[in-house]
Amino acid sequence: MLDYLPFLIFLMILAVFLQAGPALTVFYMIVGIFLLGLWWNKRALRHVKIERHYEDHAYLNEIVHVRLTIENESILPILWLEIHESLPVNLRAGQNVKQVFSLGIRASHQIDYDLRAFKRGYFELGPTSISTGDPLGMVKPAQQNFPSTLLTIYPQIVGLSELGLPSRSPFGTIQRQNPIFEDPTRLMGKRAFQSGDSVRRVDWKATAAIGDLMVKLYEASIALNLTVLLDLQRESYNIQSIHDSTELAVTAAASLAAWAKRRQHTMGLLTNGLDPHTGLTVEKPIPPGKGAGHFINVLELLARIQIGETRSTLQLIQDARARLSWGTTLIYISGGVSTGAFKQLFQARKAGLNPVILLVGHPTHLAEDRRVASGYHLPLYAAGSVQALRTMAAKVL
Amino acid sequence: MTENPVPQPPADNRQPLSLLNDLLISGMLTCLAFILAKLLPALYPAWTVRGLPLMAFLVSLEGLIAHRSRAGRPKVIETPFLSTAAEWVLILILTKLAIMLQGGLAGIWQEILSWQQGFFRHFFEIQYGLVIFILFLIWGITRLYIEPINQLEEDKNLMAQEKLGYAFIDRQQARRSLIGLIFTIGSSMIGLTVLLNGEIEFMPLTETPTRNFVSVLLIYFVLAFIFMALNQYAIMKARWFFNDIEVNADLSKRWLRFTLVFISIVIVVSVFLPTGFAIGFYPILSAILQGLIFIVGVLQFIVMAPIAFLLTLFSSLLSTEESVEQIRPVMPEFNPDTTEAVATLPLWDVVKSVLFWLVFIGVIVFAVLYYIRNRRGLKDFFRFDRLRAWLRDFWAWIKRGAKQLGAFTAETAQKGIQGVRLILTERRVKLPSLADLVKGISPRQAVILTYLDWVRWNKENGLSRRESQTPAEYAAAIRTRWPEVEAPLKAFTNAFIQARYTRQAIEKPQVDAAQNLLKDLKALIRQAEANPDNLKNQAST
Repeated sequence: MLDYLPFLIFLMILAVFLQAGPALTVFYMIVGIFLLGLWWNKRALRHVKIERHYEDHAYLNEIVHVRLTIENESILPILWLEIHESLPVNLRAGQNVKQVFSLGIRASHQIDYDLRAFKRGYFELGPTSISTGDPLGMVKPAQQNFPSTLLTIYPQIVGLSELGLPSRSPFGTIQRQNPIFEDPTRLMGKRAFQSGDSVRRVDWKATAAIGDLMVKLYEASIALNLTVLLDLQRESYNIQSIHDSTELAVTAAASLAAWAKRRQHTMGLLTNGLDPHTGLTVEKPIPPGKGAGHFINVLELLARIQIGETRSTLQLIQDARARLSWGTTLIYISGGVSTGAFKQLFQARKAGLNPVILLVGHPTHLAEDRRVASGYHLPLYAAGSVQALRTMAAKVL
Repeated sequence: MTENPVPQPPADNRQPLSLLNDLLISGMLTCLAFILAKLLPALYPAWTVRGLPLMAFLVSLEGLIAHRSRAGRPKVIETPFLSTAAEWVLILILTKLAIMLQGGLAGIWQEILSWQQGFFRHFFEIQYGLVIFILFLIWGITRLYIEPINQLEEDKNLMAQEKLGYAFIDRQQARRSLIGLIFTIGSSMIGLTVLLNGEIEFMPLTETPTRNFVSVLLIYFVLAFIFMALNQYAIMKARWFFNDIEVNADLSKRWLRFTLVFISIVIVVSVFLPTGFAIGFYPILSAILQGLIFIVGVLQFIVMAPIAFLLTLFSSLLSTEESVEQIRPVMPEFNPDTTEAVATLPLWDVVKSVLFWLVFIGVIVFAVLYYIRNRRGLKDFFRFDRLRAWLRDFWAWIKRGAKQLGAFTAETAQKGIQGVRLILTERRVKLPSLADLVKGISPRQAVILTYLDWVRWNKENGLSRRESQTPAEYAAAIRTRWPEVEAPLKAFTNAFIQARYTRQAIEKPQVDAAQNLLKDLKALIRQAEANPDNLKNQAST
């Protein structure tokens, strides 16, 4: 418009001083084109609606198909609409969706594209910006932004079918040969009363039926109350491999969750990582629970979780000690164990928990950590890769 | 659309777009030639040449096509001067032939014969010279279009090089050059139109109706806007290509269609908008101001009428009939100066004038605001920050002052009320003193009154006199309580008994003595009350 201003001033002078009708007609024409373009752009953009259709949760290496529907709800056609959708680098290899097209009266346009879930995480699709302008370029193109939507990609899950973990819980789902703890809910059979048998074990119905004192025999079993303590504090990891190590830690936690779900064990999660959903360190743990819903909750958190800074490892273990019930198996996953953490884990052991240390990545002082762990009688396993995580599971057996 | 493909260089549709651009430029220059053709008879009354616009169209088109054909050839074999000279020889001959044909076959023969009497004088006669001048002007203007047009038109190879950073073309600058050219020619055309249609003394009026000129101008600007729209499309397409943005294939056709619809809407509106004004700006402004003054007057009348009515009532009570006449409010009359001027005009002209000025001023205000908004420096300058800050400070000062004034007024009023209340209270409490009271009565009554005051005073201090008590008994009771007052009390009681129960004459000195005794009694008792230990000691002793 600024390019036309001298000419408009000339026309105004002509119009006023010479009362020149032709000048005024041209004047109206230019100003009319400008005003119409301005109004058209703004009005048309206000009535553009964009919808993004996709599955907002995906597993690693899946392909997510996204359909972007751009609809013109106005009776004004849009000559050109430039759309620019920002996409996460990890899902699209840096290729954003950019296109220019026309939209007729109440017409819609669809853009389909695929995202490959290369990496677990909590990703934003968008924001999407659209812009349009008049055909003569007299008006500055109008622009409008649409908010982004979220896509959660679950972490990798490694099959830990043979994983064996100790437990102190007397009643549970895992059958044990050790008859110290018998589960009164698992009736194995009956036998004749012997001297020294507890009266509580007498099966009075059977006694009445047989006419002789009969006692119940129970199976011995344990329950595995599993809680994963995922340490995502930066200092706990070797800085050279922090990214891979933390990802492996998350993979290990997710794999344990899947294993626990398959075995119908209760499983909880404590972490000091950062949840990008809230932008804060995860303060509330996921309490131990069972079932698919609980498993999905754990996976959701593990999908989002990132390296945290604020909550220390020691504080995390202290919280675990305070929260967890006696006999819970505590799997501490980290990139390294400090002296303080060893002490805290030892205290946890004394408090009746079963701490197990799982070091991932490339710990700086692995041999030293093993020595200290054996000194504290704490089982310690190390996995430098996903493959090692699988074999480690076999070794644990 | 499926996966986002890598954008390909723009489709090579240069030929049709180039042809369209050539036709548009030639069309615009034809419009210019039309107006020039109308100007020439005014300057040269013997002008007989027809078809100048057509000639201009052909010359312009030839110039563009010739340039494009030369641009396609290698520069090694290109000789611009010779090519241009050949081009002009052809134009000169064809133009002469066209002019000669307008005179018929006889005219051609006569013209050829006249060459024998002086070739240059008869070949390059005035009309032919003028036509050649106009055509040369058109041809020259055409050449001015060529360079920016070349920069804006799509060139697949060049754009690919630009994308790689090997070349750079400032398309916006090229567009600005074109806009400048278009509007300079357009301004000239409007100026010429005004000149031809105006009542200028030395310029004979043209017989061509104004609407023809308006039509030509509209055609010129419609073609110019289409031309600009195509160039804008070329710029946008290049930008999208450089940014790897995929463009729908049918966008170019839609662009052209949309531009035509867009411009048509504007033309329809522009044609129907008022282009003339029967009433000038100042009369309109004056009428509007008078209208505003009238509204203010009416409001003033509505406000003042009840007050005036009340004043009238007061005045009638005072029987001042003259003042009643003076304070009667008068309803204002709306009588703008333009009434007479407007009355002679049709209503539609008045409406058109008002509409014209409204549109005109609105557009100017909008253009100025838009210009300021797009100039950061000016925008900052006109942000009225200082003025706004000053106004804010001023308002705060006013508020603070008003608050202080309110507080001061409230305090003063409170003080005043308290003062009035105090005065009233004091008036109520401050009864006439005993000394004042006794001045107006007889000495006997004065002594009795003094004693009564003593009884009242004792009552206030907790020692009431019972009705059964005689003055002596009452004195004994007081003495029991305050033994130190025995002597004056006895004298005082005796004075009262003398005045109340005897017929002895009571004189003024006795009244004074009684009052002095009363003062002494009160002073002693106050002293005793202030020092109770002394009192106890005295009592014990």
